[in-house]
Amino acid sequence: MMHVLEVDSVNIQFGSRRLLSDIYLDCKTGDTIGIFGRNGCGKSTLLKIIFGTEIPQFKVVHLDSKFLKTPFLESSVISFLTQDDFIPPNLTVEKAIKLSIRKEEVHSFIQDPIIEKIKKQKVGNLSGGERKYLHVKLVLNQDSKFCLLDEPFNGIAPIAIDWIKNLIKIKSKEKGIMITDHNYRNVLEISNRIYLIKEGYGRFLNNKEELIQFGYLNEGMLD
Amino acid sequence: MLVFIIMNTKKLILFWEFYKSNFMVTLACFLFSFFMCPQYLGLFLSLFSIVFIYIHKEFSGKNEYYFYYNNQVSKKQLFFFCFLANTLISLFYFLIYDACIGSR
Repeated sequence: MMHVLEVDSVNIQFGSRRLLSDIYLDCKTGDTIGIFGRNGCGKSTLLKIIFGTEIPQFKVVHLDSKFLKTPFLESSVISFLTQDDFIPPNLTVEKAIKLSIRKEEVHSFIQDPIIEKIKKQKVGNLSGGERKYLHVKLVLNQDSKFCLLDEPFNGIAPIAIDWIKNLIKIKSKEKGIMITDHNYRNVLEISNRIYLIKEGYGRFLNNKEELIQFGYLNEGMLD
Repeated sequence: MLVFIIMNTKKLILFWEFYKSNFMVTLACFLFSFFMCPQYLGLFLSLFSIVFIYIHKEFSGKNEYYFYYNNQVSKKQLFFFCFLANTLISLFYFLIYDACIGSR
């Protein structure tokens, strides 16, 4: 079933600095939107605003034209991968999975060879790559229509990047995904829409070459 | 709120996991109050321990809230559960305390 998440009129200001102005963004089931922008331009803040944990001066979030006041508290709407680990380190992998995803999906989730290997371990004892993979897989498999991924490729080995890209590709068929990461090649590889935040304003780009045109990338960086 | 908690087992487990992750802070508050000001144990455990848990969490695991947010549990709900659990423990403590004193 097709769903549409619309975010409109996002305005946020910290002191005298306006971070985001009149941001509009829509995401449909099947979309993988790569959100780009320089450090400190407000990408992570935007994702937190959409999720509902950052309160801006103004925002409107609709799911299928229904207004959502606090999206993360609504059942089956949205899940969010933060930059830093969020699964309590004292939980075992198996317990974290059982608490986060639907009962009927636990078995197939654990059958994944990477998860199978670590399921009895405590989350705090996993390697960086394993932990990131678990976080991404958990967020993508939660009972939500949309996933927000903040820097899923940050600080992990190339092999783990491939695992995560595959996960996102599989799940993007049934969910809407918004992803932000400075590892632009990997994001571009899995995105079907590109969104750029520059000087507080956001816009969808028609193609990846516009990332050069708008000054996010230098000439030759897409070769 | 209570009905909501009772009717949702998975959420109840999430609340319990959050409570457990702060158990050392609660225990420290309980012991401090037990030895220093036992007459205020209930107040200390129910109210002040929540403040200490909050401070502890803000410094040691702020990002862990997102685990609960991703399961549709808010910060308010988590702390309300801690408050409720600590109030029950202090009530239980006073019942035992009264029974012991009364039996003398």
